[in-house]
Amino acid sequence: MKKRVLSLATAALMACSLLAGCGGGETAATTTAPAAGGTEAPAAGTEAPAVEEASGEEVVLELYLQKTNVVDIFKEMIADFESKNPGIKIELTSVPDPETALVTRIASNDYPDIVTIWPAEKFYRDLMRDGALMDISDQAFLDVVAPGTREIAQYDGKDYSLSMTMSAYGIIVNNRLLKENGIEKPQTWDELIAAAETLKANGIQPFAFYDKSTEQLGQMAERLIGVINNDITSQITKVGKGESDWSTEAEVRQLAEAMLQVRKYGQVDTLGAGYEDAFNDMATEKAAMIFYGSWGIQTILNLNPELDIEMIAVPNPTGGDAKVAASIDTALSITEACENKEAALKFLEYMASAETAQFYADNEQNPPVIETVKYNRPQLQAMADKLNSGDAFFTPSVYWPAGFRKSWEAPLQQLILSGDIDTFIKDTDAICVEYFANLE
Amino acid sequence: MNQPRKRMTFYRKQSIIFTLFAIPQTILYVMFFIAPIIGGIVYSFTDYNGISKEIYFVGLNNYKTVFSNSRFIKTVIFNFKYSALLVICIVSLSLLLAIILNSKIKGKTFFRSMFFFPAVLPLLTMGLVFNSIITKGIPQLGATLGIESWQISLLSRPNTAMYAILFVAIWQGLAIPTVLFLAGLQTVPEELMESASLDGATSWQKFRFITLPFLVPTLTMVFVLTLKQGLMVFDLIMSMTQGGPAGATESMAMLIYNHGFVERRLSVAMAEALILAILVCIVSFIQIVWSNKKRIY
Repeated sequence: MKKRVLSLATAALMACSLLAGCGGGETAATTTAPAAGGTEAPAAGTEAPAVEEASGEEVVLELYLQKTNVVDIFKEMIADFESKNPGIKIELTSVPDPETALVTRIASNDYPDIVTIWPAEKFYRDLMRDGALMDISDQAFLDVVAPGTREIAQYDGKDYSLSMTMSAYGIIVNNRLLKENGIEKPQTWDELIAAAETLKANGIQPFAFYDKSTEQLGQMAERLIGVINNDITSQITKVGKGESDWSTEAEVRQLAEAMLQVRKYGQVDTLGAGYEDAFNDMATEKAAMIFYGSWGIQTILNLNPELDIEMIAVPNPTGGDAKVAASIDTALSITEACENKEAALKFLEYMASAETAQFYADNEQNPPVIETVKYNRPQLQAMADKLNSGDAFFTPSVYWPAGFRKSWEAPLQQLILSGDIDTFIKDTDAICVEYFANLE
Repeated sequence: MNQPRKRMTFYRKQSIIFTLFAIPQTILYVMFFIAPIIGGIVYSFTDYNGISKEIYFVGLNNYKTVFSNSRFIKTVIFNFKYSALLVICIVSLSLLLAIILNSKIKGKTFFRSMFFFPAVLPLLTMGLVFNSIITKGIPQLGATLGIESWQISLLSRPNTAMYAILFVAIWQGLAIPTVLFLAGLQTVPEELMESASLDGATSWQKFRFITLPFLVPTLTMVFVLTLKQGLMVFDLIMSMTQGGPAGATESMAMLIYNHGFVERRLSVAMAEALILAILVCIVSFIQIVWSNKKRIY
């Protein structure tokens, strides 16, 4: 009896592990044969070859979408493109943690045809350098991209991608909560702290933090130190090369002081909160402000569509000029491995057309860089104006070697935990040397 | 003269058949196991970053980088501390559970299936569920009850985060060792127990000198499995702390992932993975040799 129970249990276990093994791997299996034979097959054997021929001519392109938050918008645009261009079929691939998956695929020489990239980041610049992406400099549709943006996205003076939107980093504020407490939108750091003070006194949590989410925390520090000094990378390089250190240069101390100062106005245990929790605090109007990127606005609005939120620029903690940290958010590239470049170019041209770009800007939250588009998102209007007037700087991390910000995350959490600025400065010194000492 | 020759051909024939049976398995093993390992060893001596087409040999540079990195040393210490606690807790608790579930208690079948249940849940899912309980549930309860210390999540302090992860790992990891020990307990001969009772042995003596020796093979297996689980812990950390707070729960596997896929220093990650593999081998080898001396059959 006992043995039977045991063997049953073992059998159940094995069955479970088998099932677990089969779980993945089905996503990409959607084939392109839409019931070709199914409906007509019994009637006409003569028609079958014709169907086959048609599907034989059909060009299938794989679009590897790394912006997982806009899958539905892309699906709609792809459907529209396919109806206008019969004979071209676009298969959308969108997986969680897309960049890791992309690296793995590229390592095994399995390139998608079209891919969304972040053209300023080092990884994609390496791909451009290695000739993995197609040079599209001579395409006429690129002329609609704002010249400044186009230039940033170029590598060695050549275009490898079509930029569609920019993203901005700022403070997302709840207009209703600010108004009810008689607070104007803060323009300076002192005004920001004063606003937080008022909110706290009125029993509202001023900021929502997310210090458990290491990546988002690293991002906040990176953007904030960029606001303090737009050209922070040259300072970091100086420290990394051993020409100076952060006890001489002021920026890291200023950053640490600012980070600690605002955390007096956050949750009881900021290190216990992830960014989803922070979004929740914003959506339920428990908190009034959050440091975040423009891509977070739609996520918060999805949780509570009634919310009256807006993004304002992060004021400079040192009291100086405050520009907006920006980066290119949606950009499309064709890989050199793509076998149907004509069709892929057609798709990029379609994406750059006034109509599609407008549709994309209306549905995606980020400010567009295609000049024909009229931007109409009230939540980001102030940001878009700043970006268009050139009151922006390129977010520093795109110039940083991969891993530098990641290594900085642990000291950042340590800083928030202990409040020990001197240790943080020393740790930052060490990381700068580790990553920048041998950089050309 | 003829006789031995005939025998040889018979044996040879037999061994050819055995070889034929073994070939498919060997090919698969070499293709999917040996070849990637050799590839990994080769890559760990290069500057391969996963994408570049030009690869250069850099000798032992990657290994030098690994051993001079204080972050790596920290993860090794974390791994050993975590594994030691995991092995001690799982082996002792699952053995205890198995003995209880093997005794004559009411609702034995029910309890057996209850204790087995956590094993069918994926670790990642469990990590996410417990993450919510620890970071939201307990602090909220603390706020409601007015207990201040409960309002700080266990995962947000470096000195408690590891224990929170360990708790989940034990809760989930107990199930299979318990089943294995239950199976092991069936191998203890009843008559030995009976005669020991007649000789006046206490239950502790019966456990120590009869049950335990019979359980040594199971013990070895559970020990190695748990140790491997501890040294290679990844999914729970990924879903609960991502290595935080302040790097306090970064494991070797986590660091390998970060170096390989986040920083794209694949060759360094491969060097680290090889060091981890060697560590696991050494510890398992010592353990198996030690327990082979102790087994009674």
